[in-house]
Amino acid sequence: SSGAAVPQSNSEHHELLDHPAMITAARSCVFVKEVARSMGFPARTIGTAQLLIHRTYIYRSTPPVASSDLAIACLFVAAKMEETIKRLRDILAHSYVNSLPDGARIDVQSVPTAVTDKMRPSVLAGEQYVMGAIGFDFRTTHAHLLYVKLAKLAGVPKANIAADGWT
Amino acid sequence: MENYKRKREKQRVKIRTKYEIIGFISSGTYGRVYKARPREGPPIELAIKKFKPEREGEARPTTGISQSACREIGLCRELHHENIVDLCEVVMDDNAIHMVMDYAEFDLLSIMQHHIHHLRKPMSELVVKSILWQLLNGVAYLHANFILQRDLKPANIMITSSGVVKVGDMGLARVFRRPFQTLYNGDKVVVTVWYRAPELLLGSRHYTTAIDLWSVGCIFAEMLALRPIFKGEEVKMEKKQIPFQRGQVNKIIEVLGTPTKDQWPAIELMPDFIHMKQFRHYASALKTWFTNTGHKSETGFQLLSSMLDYDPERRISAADALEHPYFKEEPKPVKHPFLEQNISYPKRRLTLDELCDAKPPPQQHAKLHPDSTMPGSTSVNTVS
Repeated sequence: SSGAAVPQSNSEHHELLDHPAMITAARSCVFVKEVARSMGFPARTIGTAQLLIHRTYIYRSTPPVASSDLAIACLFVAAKMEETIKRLRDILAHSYVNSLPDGARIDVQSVPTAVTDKMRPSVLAGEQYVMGAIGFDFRTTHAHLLYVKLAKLAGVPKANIAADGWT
Repeated sequence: MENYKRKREKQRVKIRTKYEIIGFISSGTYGRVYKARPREGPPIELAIKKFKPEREGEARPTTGISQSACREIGLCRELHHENIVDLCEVVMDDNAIHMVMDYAEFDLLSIMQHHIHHLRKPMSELVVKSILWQLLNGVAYLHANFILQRDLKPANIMITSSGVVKVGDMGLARVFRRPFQTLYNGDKVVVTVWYRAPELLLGSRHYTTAIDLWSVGCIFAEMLALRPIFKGEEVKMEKKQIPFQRGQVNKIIEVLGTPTKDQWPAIELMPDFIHMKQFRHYASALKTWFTNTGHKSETGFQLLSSMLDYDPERRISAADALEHPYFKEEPKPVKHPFLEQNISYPKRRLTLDELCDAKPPPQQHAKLHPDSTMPGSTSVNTVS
């Protein structure tokens, strides 16, 4: 039957999606979204940050810094690309708070400068790495806009599926 | 993995091995600009803009890529137009970003200064018209692509030795389509004060491509008179408060007259309109100003007035300005005005700094040894 031709996605090893770099990238995307949300970045900036994460991991999957630092660097670059710039200190403070366990979260304002200053060098090294990986190519396509258009074309209900594209 | 890293390090482009830096051109807040030529390939001239390394001597950067570099690289990569400076390559080396761009022998400021100090005569109408047309052509291209230049001034208008205009310095330029916040929110102060449009001076939160046309109008006027038309004293920023540019506004109304509600319906809605009350009343003196420059073209005057229209809504657009009767009149604008008119200006003076590889070869020397410009032979001149 036709059903047999469809590969069983859960049992089959997917070469790209199961690559450790892609798993890290996916995790970084979630992290970046949370940080960016808490800072009030628009969907466009978040999308660009996630795009940068993916591009970086595809081209150069072995960053010299922690994956969270690279993710923050991507958000920082995306903020500049989308003309929604914020101070690096603020981004660092928000991501620090976000990395704390749920119960122990402190107010963003009370994050000591010493903490963010300590994060700064590796995030900036991450930024340079991202620049190298993308080769200063700041062109972007916004996947969420395309998603919404396709959803509209396919006539899927706006309330759940289509709205997911934006959020 | 180690092998891969070594291999990549080998492949990394080093600015000094790929290009020979001939001399230092100028510097600004962003960094420094050098004249260079590739060590291999055709002997062409290039400009290298080196963005300030974060903090000299430090192994790692401290502030990240500047937004101005980000904008300029992002925009220039996409823009290709004969009247816009072209970006060839971006190189990260020595902890600084280097943009390798087209080289232009002159800029409009240096040409005007040459006319004032050496030739002591105005620029010919054909040259003024040709430069203005090309400038508008470049600006129209930017506007058609939803880009505001936001820092048009003579120093940012590059001109090649044959007279082709290249609009440069896109460090303040940005895409204005669908801004997330008001443009004011991004950069509080834009455009050098002498070329700043009245709506910006009155603190408008939203602005349009019309601000670039005001700057073009000021540049047009400056080419006619060889001095800035509105040379106001800049009020310095204090305690991070954006000051009202009293001197600049005063210069504008001295020439254009006090703006009325008829001329600019939205003027009373401007955030800093309240400051307008402090000025005495002036009548428009633009016609007298124009006559004093010695230029007679009536259509030229009309074009200038429509660029310097107080109301940004009514100010002429770059695309419309290109179609203005002024350009249909003799002398008609040409593509290479310096070439056709056989005009030559003194070349850019280069100085040497620690980054430069070689002394600029003297003119006769270059003639005696025609292959001194060829790659390889330059090592003779190297001062290391």
